[in-house]
Amino acid sequence: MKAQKLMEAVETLKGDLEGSLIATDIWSVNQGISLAGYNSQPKAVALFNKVTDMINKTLTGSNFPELGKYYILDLVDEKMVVIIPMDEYQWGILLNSQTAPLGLLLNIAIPNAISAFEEALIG
Amino acid sequence: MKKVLIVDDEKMFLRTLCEGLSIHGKNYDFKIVTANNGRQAIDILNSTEIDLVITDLRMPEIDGFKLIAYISSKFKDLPVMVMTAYGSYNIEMEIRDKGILHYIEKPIDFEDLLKKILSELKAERRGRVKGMNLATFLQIIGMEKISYTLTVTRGKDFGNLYIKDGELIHAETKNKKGMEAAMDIITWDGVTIDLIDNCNFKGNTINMALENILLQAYKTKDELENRKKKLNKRKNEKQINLVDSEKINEIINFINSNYNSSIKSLNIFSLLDKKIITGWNINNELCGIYGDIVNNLDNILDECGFPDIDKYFLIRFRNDHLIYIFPLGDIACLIQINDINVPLGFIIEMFTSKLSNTNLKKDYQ
Repeated sequence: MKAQKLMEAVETLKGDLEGSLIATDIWSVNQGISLAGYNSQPKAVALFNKVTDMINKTLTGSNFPELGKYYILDLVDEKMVVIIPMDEYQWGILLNSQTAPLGLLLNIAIPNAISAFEEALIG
Repeated sequence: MKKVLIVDDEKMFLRTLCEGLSIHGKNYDFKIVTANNGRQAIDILNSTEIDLVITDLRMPEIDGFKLIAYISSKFKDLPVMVMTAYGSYNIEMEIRDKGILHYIEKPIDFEDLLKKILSELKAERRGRVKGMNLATFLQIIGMEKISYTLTVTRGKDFGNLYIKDGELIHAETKNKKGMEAAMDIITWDGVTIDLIDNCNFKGNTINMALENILLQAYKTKDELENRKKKLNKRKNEKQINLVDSEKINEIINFINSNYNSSIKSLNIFSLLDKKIITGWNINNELCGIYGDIVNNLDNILDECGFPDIDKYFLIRFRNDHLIYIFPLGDIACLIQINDINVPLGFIIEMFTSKLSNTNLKKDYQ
């Protein structure tokens, strides 16, 4: 994994989402600690590491697919969280749901983030 | 007329207290009864209806602790106040609001004692939960720095607490040991306590001050009660939601007629028991799994003080299939979408705005 490319991925996301991005972190699942980010939120990293683990554990053993590309939570207080699981790493994105157009998020920002993330992990 | 039993082996002190309080008793409609030790107090309790017991702790024959243990098993609703020279202001402030602290510091402040008696007798009229709480009992043992082995029984549950020189050193229930067992036992309500002199445990599995254990146990209990309240709130909302299922069916029919080929299933189910209320191509197993996920997610967000889920929860899988969940109080709408070209914005808009146009959202608030 290349740290520089992770930072570049974060910068790309910032560019795509402009003022709607509140915070973002890329972290390792085992450590639960941020590796790269913007306005880093350690508590949220720990929380969503736990959430992803809970979802994975619940889905494991069921007949349904395990987590794949991403999951999105629309939260009260006009916040939205996107989590992109990628093997041993996860990318969490906290944004303002009022100012972030969902189309831009789903069709531009998240696909760009996933491909930048994959690139950084391959090195 | 209410009767207040005061138990103390110092006869002069007892007489002074009795004379002083009896004057006020005429004005406030209560009568003082006295006993010189725990055995006399038990005899009185078994022959006279008493409304409040105020007891010293260190007495011959049956001491105050054993008297309290007896009261806890035979007179569960009887409020007890303890006279002790070892009060702790901090913990009193922390747990007084919970209605579990009943002690009076020695030397006695007469006015304060009278106030507490009147407050306790008045509280009884309001139907307040009475009796000596286990936490209070432990707190007093801690203050007096004595050693006891307590067997605590609540219905079919029982556990032992081992206290050495006022510190809890070990606890055990049928399935738990150490701190875990202590946290469990301390928050039991409606217990019966049996006391054995001295601490019958060698070693130490708990290394936290008793005061802190009590506070932590009650904090945990509060959190659990909050969760229960939330669950009960959901249960209360259930009836309201079911009444509105007709409105939900309108949406289902609309989606069915317009996006039948892209949407694999649509399920509206209860988050309480995961039972499906309505839908088409319904999938019980899917609702069971995702009902658990939404409930767990809700709990995790709550525990961490993070905002709750508002409009939806979306998962996109590697094959681009999607699962959309719209939690709406105690029910949730779950949509399985197998075509990425479905206008997601439209679906979200319909579920969030159209549902809020019904009375559903208003009813939850």
